[in-house]
Amino acid sequence: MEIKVIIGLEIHVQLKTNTKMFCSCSAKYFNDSPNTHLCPVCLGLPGALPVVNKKAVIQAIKVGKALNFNINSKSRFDRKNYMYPDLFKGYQITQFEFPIDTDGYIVLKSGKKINIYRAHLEEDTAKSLHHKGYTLLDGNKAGVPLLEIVSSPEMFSKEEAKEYAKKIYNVVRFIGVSDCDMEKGQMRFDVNINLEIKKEGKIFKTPISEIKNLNSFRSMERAIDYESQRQLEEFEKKGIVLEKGNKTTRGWNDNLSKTFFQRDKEESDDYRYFPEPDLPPFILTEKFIQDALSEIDILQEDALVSLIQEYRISSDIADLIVEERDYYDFFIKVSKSYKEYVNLSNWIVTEIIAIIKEYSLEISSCDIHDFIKLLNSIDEKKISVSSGKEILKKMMLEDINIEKEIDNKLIDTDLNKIESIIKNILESNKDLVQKYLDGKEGIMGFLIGQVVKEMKGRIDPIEVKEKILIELDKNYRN
Amino acid sequence: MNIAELKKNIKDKKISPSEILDIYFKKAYVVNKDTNCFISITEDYTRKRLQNSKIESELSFIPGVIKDNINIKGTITTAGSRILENYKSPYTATVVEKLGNFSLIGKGNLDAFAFGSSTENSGFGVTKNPLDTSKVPGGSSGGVAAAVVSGVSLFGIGTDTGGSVRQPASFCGLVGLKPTYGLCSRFGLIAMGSSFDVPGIIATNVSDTALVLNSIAGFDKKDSTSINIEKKDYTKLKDDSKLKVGILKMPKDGVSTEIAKAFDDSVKLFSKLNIDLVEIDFKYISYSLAIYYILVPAEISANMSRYDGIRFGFHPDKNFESISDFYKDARSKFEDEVKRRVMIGTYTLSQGYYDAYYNKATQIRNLIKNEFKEVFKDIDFLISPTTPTLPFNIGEKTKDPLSMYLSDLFTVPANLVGYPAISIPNKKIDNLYSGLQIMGRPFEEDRLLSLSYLIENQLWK
Amino acid sequence: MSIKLSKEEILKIANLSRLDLTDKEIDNFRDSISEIINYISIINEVDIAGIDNFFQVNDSSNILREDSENKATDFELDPSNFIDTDESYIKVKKVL
Repeated sequence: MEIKVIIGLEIHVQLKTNTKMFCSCSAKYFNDSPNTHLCPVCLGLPGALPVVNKKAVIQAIKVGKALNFNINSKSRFDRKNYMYPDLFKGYQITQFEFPIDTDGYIVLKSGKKINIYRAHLEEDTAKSLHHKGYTLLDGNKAGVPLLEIVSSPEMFSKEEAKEYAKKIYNVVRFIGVSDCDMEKGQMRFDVNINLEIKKEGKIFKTPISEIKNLNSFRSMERAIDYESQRQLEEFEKKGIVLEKGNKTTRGWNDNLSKTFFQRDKEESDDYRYFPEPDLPPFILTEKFIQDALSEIDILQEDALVSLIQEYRISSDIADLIVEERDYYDFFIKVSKSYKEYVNLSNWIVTEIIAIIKEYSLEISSCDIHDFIKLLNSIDEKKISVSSGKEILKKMMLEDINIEKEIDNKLIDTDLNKIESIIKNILESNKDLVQKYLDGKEGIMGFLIGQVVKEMKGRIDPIEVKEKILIELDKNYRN
Repeated sequence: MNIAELKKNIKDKKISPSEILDIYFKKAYVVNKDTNCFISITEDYTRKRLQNSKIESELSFIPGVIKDNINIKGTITTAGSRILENYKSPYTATVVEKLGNFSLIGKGNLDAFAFGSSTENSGFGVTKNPLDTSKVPGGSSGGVAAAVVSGVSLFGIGTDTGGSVRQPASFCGLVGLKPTYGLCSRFGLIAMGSSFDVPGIIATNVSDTALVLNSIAGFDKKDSTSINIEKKDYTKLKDDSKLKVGILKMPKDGVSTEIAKAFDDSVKLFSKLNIDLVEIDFKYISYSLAIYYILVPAEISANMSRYDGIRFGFHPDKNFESISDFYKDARSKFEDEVKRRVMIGTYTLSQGYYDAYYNKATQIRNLIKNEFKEVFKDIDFLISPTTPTLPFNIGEKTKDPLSMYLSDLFTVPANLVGYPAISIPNKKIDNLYSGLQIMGRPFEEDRLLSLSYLIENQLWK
Repeated sequence: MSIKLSKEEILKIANLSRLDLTDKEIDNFRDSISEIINYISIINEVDIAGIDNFFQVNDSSNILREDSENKATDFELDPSNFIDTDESYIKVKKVL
């Protein structure tokens, strides 16, 4: 028996705009009191009318470019009819027949191309908090702009699905159309999944499940694992195969690590789409599209290529730098006046990003001018690398005067002093020195550390090591 | 009394704003008893609002009636349906904002959600025609027309989706104007058929109509379908020479003999004015009603989905097995005609029927629009009767919805194509009024009103 | 050919419309809606080959709003219109 899992992803991305999709209420609702961003339009009051947010259209055009879509000059909104308490108008304004972006694709590392059917604009729903016996509704999220990106079912493993999702995440963030903060629900996945089972020379397909509203890469992977196994077991037990109308909708319970049945698609799926009469269509001119695209200075994949080819940075390091637009921007800004690109990229990836992650900072806490001064001081051997690292951390966490910090750590060039400190340290650690000489090389680090400490860090450890070796040769080795 | 006269009296201090309120509210209660033209009489609201008010707009202190499917903040806005019985609107429609500090006398009765042609489908009782209380006042803006013809208001704002301003105006012997789609904002009008709805004006004469249009016309950034065109003064008469007027070829049946006769008489008046007349026979216009009753219920079925019992209006207070049962209980407050149209729309939009109905109707709507464009290259105006019959009896058509629908025969095409159309009263027949409908080119309300003025004043009397 | 919707069809449409009908209403709507469906079906005879199904009343397009907050409207949220509230949430009984 051979089993192939077939996965398609619908990704909802909340677009970064000041206001909602169809009204001027603030779209920045995170942590605000419930129902404070509401007006007749997003509350769905009788008589209210939608007006399209231009920024959201521009964002959709930019995603169109970044994911290799055709950006359609003719596009319009439709009404998708279904009644649910979190959908205040009883219909969602979305794009059905004429989405703004169609026929895009991305390429996975393996070289496999994943086609993306479409990306269309729509409005988010209200937030529901389900309690026992009742539900609480908060309309602040109702009407926030969403872009739904719908892939073709061409991913055949959870790894491919994850890579695809990650790629969308990176690309979308890089051009600044969304922060995709999954904890805030700014990016959500619906997974369409079924199995193709080869058994006794025949091919069977299991019914498709759509697992709704997964809010992390991890839960997406786990849901795929669980659901593949569940479908296989169900197939073996009941032998039900894919038919028209037997698609089901399932939810994901993160605590139980299980998908659960929500509803049959069949009856509730009649959404009775029709053109939204309250909104004239878009006939986007070439100029409008070009103006929107001119807001993209560089795409993530172009940034990556340029780091590797122009700046000669290894692809592993470059990958990490383009992961965040801010890192890339930081690199480019520093590189304007600091030309040791490889060294720069290493500092960003191994030092700065580590500090950012450890202390939950933004890269903006690293002042560019101070950072350049710091790197130059290290390169000119005014301070040691380790002092540089210390200063960097301090610089990102506190308000400091960089010149003063560097002055404090200037390498001490008083040879007599250094030599006498080395002598003293070796003298007072005779036992250890002997152990070192007997082959315990790890001791050297300790000895260097002691000297550096005594020198208050104002010395390059490499130099210390050289001098210790000389002293050992002179006075300790036979 | 017309608006200009009352304005002069106010300006000359012959009458004070509070005297206006005393007189008109007193009358409103009396008339309402006889006709049920108001869902609410807004005396407290208006007295409070106009306290310390000054003359600041064209219609300051002029008594007016607003159809109750138009939102006014702080008033109960029911749309004529029990599902909104106690709904206190938290915002005001743009057209009402634009009217300024007029004297709101009341909110006019209507067929629930404006679904109807007789005001018999109201959740708040039938409105009677003040000219003959055995007859309907027309609809759906029947309450507005009844209030204006009774003299309780000098003007009224209604909504017109397929004739809902023109038909009641004609049944009550008034002028009713449906402006071009997009000239006046729909923001705050409770939607029926969104691509058909427009706010409209009912008044006793053409000049008053023009004055009110001056106030309510204009682009509104809150309505994406409103059109930004240069502002016009509709009270200025245009001297049109060399007019060419099309006469709509009468359909083979459905038009009563009285109406046919009245229409013949009006055609003669045009001839007397040396206006070129030409009979126009459209190829597709006979499908107007069919596509109207496909597209409008489709739009209605979605527009009615927000009435879910949660955020406003009637709230179920029982426990239910499912949210679906909750909805069904809330929506049991819908009047029969509302239920009927929602179901028709749901049917024609549902899987397997969309192409045959909605899609095809949209294509025919394009055919009709193209045909109108062609025809109006050659003519300036198109005339027809406003309605195929004289005002009918209360109860006459309630059992037969289709026959009610057919009474929109002449008014619906203007909404299909978005053109402006006006109904001006014919001479009385058997003590009942009917109307002459004149349709003009889009956004040429100035010319339409000028011609109407000519017909009304030079010849009618 | 005239269509008469079955009781099941009426119930299906009613359910999709979230309407609960009494037996009397079912009969009544079966008749009237069938009659109307038959009437509107006259459009079957029209040849619409090649006709656009993208309809607009006015030929306007790209009506877009700048992305700036605007609270100019006189709207004031009136929670007394809500079915029930809990803190400032809207509270609905038993949704799932």
